[in-house]
Amino acid sequence: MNSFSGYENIAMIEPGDDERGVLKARFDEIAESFKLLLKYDASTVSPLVSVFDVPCVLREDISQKLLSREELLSGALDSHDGYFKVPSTLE
Amino acid sequence: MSYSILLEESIMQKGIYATAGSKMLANFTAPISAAVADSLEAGGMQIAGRAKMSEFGASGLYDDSPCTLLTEAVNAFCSDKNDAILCNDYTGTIAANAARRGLCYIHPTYGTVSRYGLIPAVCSMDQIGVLCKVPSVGFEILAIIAGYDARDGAMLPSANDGGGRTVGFNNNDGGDKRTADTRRTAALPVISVAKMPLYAEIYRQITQILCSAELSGNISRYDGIKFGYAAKDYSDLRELYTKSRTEAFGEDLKLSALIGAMVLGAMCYEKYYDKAMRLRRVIKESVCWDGFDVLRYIHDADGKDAIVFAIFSRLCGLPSLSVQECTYVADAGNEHALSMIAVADEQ
Amino acid sequence: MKYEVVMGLEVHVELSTQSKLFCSCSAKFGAEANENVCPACAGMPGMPALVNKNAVSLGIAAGILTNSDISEVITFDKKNYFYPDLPTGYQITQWFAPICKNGWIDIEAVGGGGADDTIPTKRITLKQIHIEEDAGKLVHEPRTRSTLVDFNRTSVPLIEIVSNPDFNTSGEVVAYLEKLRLLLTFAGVSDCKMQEGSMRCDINISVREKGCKKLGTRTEIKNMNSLKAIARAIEYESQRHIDALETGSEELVVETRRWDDTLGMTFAMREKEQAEDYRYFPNPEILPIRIDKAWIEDVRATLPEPAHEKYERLTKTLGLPEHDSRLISESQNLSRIFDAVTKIVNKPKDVSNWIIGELLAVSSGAGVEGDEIDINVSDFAKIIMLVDEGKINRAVGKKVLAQVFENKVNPEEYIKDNSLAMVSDTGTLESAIAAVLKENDKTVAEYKNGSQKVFGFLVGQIMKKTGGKADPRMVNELLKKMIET
Repeated sequence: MNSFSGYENIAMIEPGDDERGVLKARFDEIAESFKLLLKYDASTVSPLVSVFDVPCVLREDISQKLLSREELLSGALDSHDGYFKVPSTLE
Repeated sequence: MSYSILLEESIMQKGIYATAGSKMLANFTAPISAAVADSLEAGGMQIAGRAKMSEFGASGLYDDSPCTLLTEAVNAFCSDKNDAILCNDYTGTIAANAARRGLCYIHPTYGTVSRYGLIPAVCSMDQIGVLCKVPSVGFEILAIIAGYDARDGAMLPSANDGGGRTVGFNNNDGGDKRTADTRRTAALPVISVAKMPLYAEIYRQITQILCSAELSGNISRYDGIKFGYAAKDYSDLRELYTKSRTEAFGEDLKLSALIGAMVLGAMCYEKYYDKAMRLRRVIKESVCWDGFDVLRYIHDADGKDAIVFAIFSRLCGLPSLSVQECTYVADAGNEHALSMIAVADEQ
Repeated sequence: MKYEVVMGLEVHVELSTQSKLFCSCSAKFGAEANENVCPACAGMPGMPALVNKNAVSLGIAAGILTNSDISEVITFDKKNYFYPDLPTGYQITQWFAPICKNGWIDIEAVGGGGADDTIPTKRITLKQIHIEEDAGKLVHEPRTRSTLVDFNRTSVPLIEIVSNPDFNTSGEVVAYLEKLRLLLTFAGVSDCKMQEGSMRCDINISVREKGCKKLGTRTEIKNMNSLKAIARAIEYESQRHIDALETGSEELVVETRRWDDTLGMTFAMREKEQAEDYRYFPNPEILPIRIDKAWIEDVRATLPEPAHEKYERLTKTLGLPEHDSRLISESQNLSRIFDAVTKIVNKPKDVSNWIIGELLAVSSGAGVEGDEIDINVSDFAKIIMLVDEGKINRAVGKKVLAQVFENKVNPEEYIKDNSLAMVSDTGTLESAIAAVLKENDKTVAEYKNGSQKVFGFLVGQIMKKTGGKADPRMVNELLKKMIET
């Protein structure tokens, strides 16, 4: 789980051997440098998710159609009868 | 005055390919037009075409040198007749590059330019800014594209257009604080900050953590199914996902997905991602204006630290102006101060 | 019983909004595949998520109805995983700051009345309620080894109501779900139709020896599409656990199991290699939403009187019979009609009788359910008043009601046009009675010989003679007098 191949699994990528070698080296170096953060104490403040404390803009509950089904499916890998079509999710 | 402006490939124009610099979106036709594109047209500006960019703007996040695509785009801009390129420079790489090339980059206050129609990378830092040759022109263009848009739920309410605040300044070599009167009429030197911004030594790590996490979350939609690149050979659903993403994403994108997976994982969330968010708050709260509007950070000889100051402004959501010698950072909503400096510099 | 079954529920309920949670697509059920989809809910980049204010209001309503603490500030977070029904590769949910916590719902305890004739209640406590977006729908095509994907349901707003493990029997679970459905449909929060998927229930179940403090191995059951299926699934699974504990015939593992209603069994769902790490993190695109007291009070003001409170009021305060009170209080529509009509005609017992006795008869004759009755309440009230005032008799009133219901006539005009006014003139009635008595001398003789029940027949004949318009009370009185002579 907490391994490079675990992360590849989560990220849904499977690089070939050569690329994997390069990626892993860069990844390891970067991951190592993150340990620097352990020296810093920020426990007195809350995590910052958004830079400004402004109210969230809420939307009125009105429905509106933006795209036709044709436009929506135009870039699809495969479609059938108005549905997107993918390889079976059942094993 | 009508200017000629290019849009970076992450900014959508309906019916035209919006690639975000990635093979994944090489044939993705934009279903909507970006708010900024509409604003430019309404403002009488000419959209002269689209500019190349690094893949999802990630260049500079994991390495020091800007990638080829970005360099090419900037080179082309230097010698062409266009006035500006609109970009989403969340890494600060474009700003730093611009400075070294004698160009100018204006990064607006977070939440003042609509992200509607912008292909997202790092939502908490994404802002469309202006790469330009003449700073005052850049500010004119910024004035046209900035403005409240209800379709972007994270915008600042429109009160803050920099009106009313006087430009404060202080030239720190001598400690000569000018009075309010002289401020308004005189030329405008600004605070020069001797020190680096707080925690500059770990900006690289903080941005890598925050940007990887958010970027990985924003690229999980690219799976070969609904639109964009899809692998030709796959035996099942899982292979469709992995092959499409592996074949279409470059190295930087793959790294962001991997690092994002790590820092958001249960084992690392608290010590890296949560910590990075808290450090970001400490950095933001460390900014002290002390009665003045603009901070001036002078670049070192080879301009290598220009990126540090650019990152600082993005972490805090503050507007900044990057030119050859220095980066100016103003308080939120005070682009006006930066534009006055730009105008004064040109005179 | 040696064993105790312990259960907790996770109920997903689709909110009755016009548009989706984060975009303006229609949230209505039943459209053709991918008709209600836009770039945002199809996973295309470029359209920032915009929170549907009404969805938050309905979440607040759910909190009020379940006596929950409503958070002052709520945020939304990303739950990350890959699956074709999730076009963005993440579900926007509330992991860090759910909208409600620590609510409760009282249900009737199973197992008899209390000493003072009150029905004991059991309190089911809730851990939390959170708002999240729904995923799309998958249709499997085994023939072509493919799956079809419909994004109509993507980003439709849901609330997930998470209970604590307070349930011990399937009866309690069913009672809870029925109560929840009643509360939420009443307030317009959701239509809670299990068969359409707007209410879904997953059950976490474990078994332990009575008196044991430690909980047994927990399994999760999914895919029950009706209350009956839920009851069956619980019976099956709890027995499976008990059998395993008693005989050691199988080892119980923590897992998710699918209920198969046809076979009447649960099956282990494909075990994943490792537990999924969803990598929850705050969604920076959606700013925190502040819920102040004013917003909560605004929502509270829109909520109708809850069914059980109305029942209490109808039975205890107004003295209406239990059966009638139950029928009215459990139907949002009938409640509404009752409230509106009693406002005009302040005679709750009469109004209740008219609704239960006459209106339901008229509507069911036309094949219309109580919840679907559409009747003009002022016209309905008018009819009740006219009968009350003696302007028409009750039988005529029922006829007029049927006309108002089916053809939307104006009652007074209809009565006038069809000369239906009640006949209470003594002279006219006496003539009619005399005529009937004359025509039915055999029956009169039977009555005089002691047969009481033929009286009703004679009344009926008199009503017929007067076109059904006679004042029945007067007919009774006059007939009694006249038959003796």
